[in-house]
Amino acid sequence: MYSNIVIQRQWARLAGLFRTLSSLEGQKLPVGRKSIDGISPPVRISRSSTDILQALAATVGVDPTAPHFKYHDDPFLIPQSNYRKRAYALSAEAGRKAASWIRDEQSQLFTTREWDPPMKMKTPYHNADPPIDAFNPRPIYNDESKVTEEDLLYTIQNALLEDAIRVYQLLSASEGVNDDLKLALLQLLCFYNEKEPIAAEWLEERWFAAATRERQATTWRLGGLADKIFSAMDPKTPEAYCTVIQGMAKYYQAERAHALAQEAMEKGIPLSTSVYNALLSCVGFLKEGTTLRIEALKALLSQMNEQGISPNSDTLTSCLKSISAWGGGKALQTFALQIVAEFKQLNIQPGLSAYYYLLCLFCKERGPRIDVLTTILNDLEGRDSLEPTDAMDTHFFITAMGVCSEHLQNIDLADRVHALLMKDDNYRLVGDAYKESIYYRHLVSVACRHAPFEKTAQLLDTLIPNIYVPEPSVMEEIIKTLELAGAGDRLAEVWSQLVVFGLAKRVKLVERLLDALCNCYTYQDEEIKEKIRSAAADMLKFGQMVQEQNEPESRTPIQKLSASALTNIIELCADVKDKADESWEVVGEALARLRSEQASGLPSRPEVISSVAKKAATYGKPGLAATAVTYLAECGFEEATTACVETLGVMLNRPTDEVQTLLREPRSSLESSLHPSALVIAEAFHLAKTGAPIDSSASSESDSETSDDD
Amino acid sequence: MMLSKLRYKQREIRVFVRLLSEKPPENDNKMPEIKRRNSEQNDDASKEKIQELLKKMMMAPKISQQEYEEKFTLAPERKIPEPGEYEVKTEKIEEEITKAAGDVAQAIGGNVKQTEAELLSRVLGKINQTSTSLSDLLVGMKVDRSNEDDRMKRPETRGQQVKRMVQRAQAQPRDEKQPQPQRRPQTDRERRPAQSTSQPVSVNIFGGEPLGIFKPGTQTNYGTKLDVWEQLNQRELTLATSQPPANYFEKMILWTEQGKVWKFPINNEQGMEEEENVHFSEHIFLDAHLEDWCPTRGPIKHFMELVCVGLSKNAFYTVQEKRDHIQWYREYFESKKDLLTEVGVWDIKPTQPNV
Repeated sequence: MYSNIVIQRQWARLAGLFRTLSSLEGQKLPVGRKSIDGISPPVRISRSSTDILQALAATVGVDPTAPHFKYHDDPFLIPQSNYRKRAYALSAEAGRKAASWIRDEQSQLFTTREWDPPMKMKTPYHNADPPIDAFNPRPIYNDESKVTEEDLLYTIQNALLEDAIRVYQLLSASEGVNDDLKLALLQLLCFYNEKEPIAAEWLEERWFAAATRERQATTWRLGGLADKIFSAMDPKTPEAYCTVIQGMAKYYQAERAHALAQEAMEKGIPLSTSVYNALLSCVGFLKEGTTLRIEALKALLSQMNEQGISPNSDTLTSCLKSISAWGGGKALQTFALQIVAEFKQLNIQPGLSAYYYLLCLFCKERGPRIDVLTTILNDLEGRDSLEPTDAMDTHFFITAMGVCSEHLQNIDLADRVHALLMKDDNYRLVGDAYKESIYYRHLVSVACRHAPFEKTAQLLDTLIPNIYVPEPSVMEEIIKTLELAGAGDRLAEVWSQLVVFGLAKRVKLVERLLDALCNCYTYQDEEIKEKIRSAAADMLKFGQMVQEQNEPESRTPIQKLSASALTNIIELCADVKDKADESWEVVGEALARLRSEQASGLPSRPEVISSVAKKAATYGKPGLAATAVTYLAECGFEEATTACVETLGVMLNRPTDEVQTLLREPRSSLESSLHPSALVIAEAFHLAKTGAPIDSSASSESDSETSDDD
Repeated sequence: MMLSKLRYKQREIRVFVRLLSEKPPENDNKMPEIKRRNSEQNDDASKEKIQELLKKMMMAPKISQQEYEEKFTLAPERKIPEPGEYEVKTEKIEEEITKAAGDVAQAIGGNVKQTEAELLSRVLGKINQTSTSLSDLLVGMKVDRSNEDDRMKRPETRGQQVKRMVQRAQAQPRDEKQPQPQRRPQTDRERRPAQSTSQPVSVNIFGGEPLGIFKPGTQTNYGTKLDVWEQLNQRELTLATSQPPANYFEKMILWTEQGKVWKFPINNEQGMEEEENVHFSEHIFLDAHLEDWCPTRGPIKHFMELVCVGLSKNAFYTVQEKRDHIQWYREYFESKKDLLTEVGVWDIKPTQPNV
């Protein structure tokens, strides 16, 4: 059997046959041709790895009633306020970061396997087969590591700037780096100006990063590694020139960039469109004054034409970027329009960022109102899709909405902008969390001011709270709108929203809300009135709770509700027709707080308190009535005396004249005849009557008393 | 009646002291205590010095009764104390006193602020006895309230507030703040004041006159190309427009792109690109690699055939690894050649197939 060599030979032959067959098999794909038996398998459609997933993802619509997917993990933890949303998402990311930190720090745990005793052998080990690069520890480069050109290529391709620099230094110390890699490194250095970019993996961090506005200042690193590499290059290739010029221009080292471009041209080195774009965007740094700058820009464009380099849409964007940075005014605006027309003639459409700069140029905060947005929208709506071409494209929608809300104050345009943003997958152009929230701030405020109420209400229902949580200023706007529309139930709900959004400690907002509630209380249904009352009662309780929680180390003084706000609460809560109603307790609590001076200021409507006093007396709450009247008297309100008389009249069920005569009697006789609460009212009456001077010149009198005491 | 007046007075003093010492006293009798503590800190000499200075200061504003009345009793009207106004009026004397007290406090050292406050309270207390109102003096003093909130500006007494409000109410018609009881909801367009009535000027952005620098229709030439630069540009653009995934499918897409999960459509040979163009027969028929060195029969042949069978069933080795494996045995046996020949298992030369 073992000597059966024939078969062995045949095996080998068979293998050869299979080999040829396999190549045939590889090519033979089912083709949509009718076969003999009438069965024709469909043509194979080649799909990319994410096609099916994308199709599935497209079936999941946006559900405004659900929180964002990233907050789904635990219903109990779903965040509602802006602060909590941010904290939630960043905490989740922090967990991922911690994990990857450990993976990088303790990389040997993941790349080697330690065998059991007796040998304690360590062998290399992969986390998976085939190995997954994304899960591999990040290579750490230090002085001992043996680096190769491959490492340098890897770091450059993954934009690991600091690692790239270290590898480059190690390499150039040992064997040197070839020119292609040097050029690649130079491009990396110039692109990021030798600053490490945020890693691509941390999406949330990028999403919530505080808005770092790009500073238009010279930040190019003079004499840095990029400069060194460039000056050491010999011969200097056109690519090297282009890279350095673009880098300098990108970081506003305008003069050197232009000088270098001049040098390159004299040497006959071909430049590129990107170089000219970069030069155009910083041309304003060379000259002062609008006319000179316009001349310089024109000269640069002509130079570009002479060099035979064609412009592209980035050229237009760069020109407009420069122009919009030079301020405003008729001359610049006309020039910008000329530029746009010039490119239109070349069949180059302005991109979103170009439109962004146009909006910046035309719609100045204090300038005349100019409507360029309509034509821009007409153009954009006519396009099939809005492909982002520039990182600045993400500024377009927020600026456009800002123009709608503040400059043009036009709800129709705002609607169009919003519809455009919601079309297809344009929503990715909204930028980051900060921009998104500003966008919605503009949208909500323009809707509140200019849209019909039903529409505004619908918009608010859609956006709040899952897509957008209003900031205090927007909340005020919303309260104002609801008040004008007399939507009592919504206003009552606003209170719970304030609590949930973490705005309930903002006394100004709460006071505004109370005012609004009072103003539209009278014409609400009974059911809604009930809701409003409970909201008002809750406000009082919330204030107390905050105070109790904050008692220990209160760095910032807790703001307290003003006396007027408390009066509003009293007014709302006193509107009950039942003695046993719990609202009376709230009224009592509010009065007690007024009396014990826990509220700032004085009630602007003391008559409310006097009417509540009367009401309390009617419903058999003499204690409350007495407190209210005493408070009035202590403050020295004019209303105090009449309130005393009337309340007492209600309480004792006698006409006013009789009460007044009664009050004139000496205290000792009253003491025996009157109920204690009535007695308190009587005392308050006397205080109000005779104690009037207290409020007019309290200080001087007290002074005189001091001297008396002495 | 008396009681309530006293209460006001007490409150006022409390406020006064608080303003001066920046330290809330528990009761009004606290003042001497503070002073004692302070004097303990400083020695007697400095104490005397203070007394002397104080006396000097007391002497300094020597003015006639008439002047005094002009300056103090007439000065402020009773209305809302607006800090700016009063400071100008009472600046002269009080500024001097405050400044002097400040200097003294500096000279003594220690708790400068407290010393100053005590000095001032002493001085002002004296002036007080000559029937100037306390609050007038208070107003002129340099208490830093610029950064404080409006509502905590200066605690007015309730009486003052009420009076102020009454005055204001009298000046204005009353019904301004009052809610109209039966106000019906109105549309907001009616209510909102139009912020600017003028219609915006419409500008057509494509209505400009071309500059005429570039000629349309010429050959496009974008010049030198920078690969890495463009790649990085693309990276930044993608990152600027990428958002956290909005559903699980998007998360899967993200993970697929990062290479963390299997790619769809599922393919068992994913990630085995190295072996992509290797036919399975090369994995299985490994006997061919024995042909040129292995004995044609005998135990070594037997052993090597078994190795080949084992390797052919191994799904984890690449073809190269399998070949290397066989190669290793070859080298091993060849290194032991002498011994093997002696035993007589090696030199069974590959012979012609015996049919």
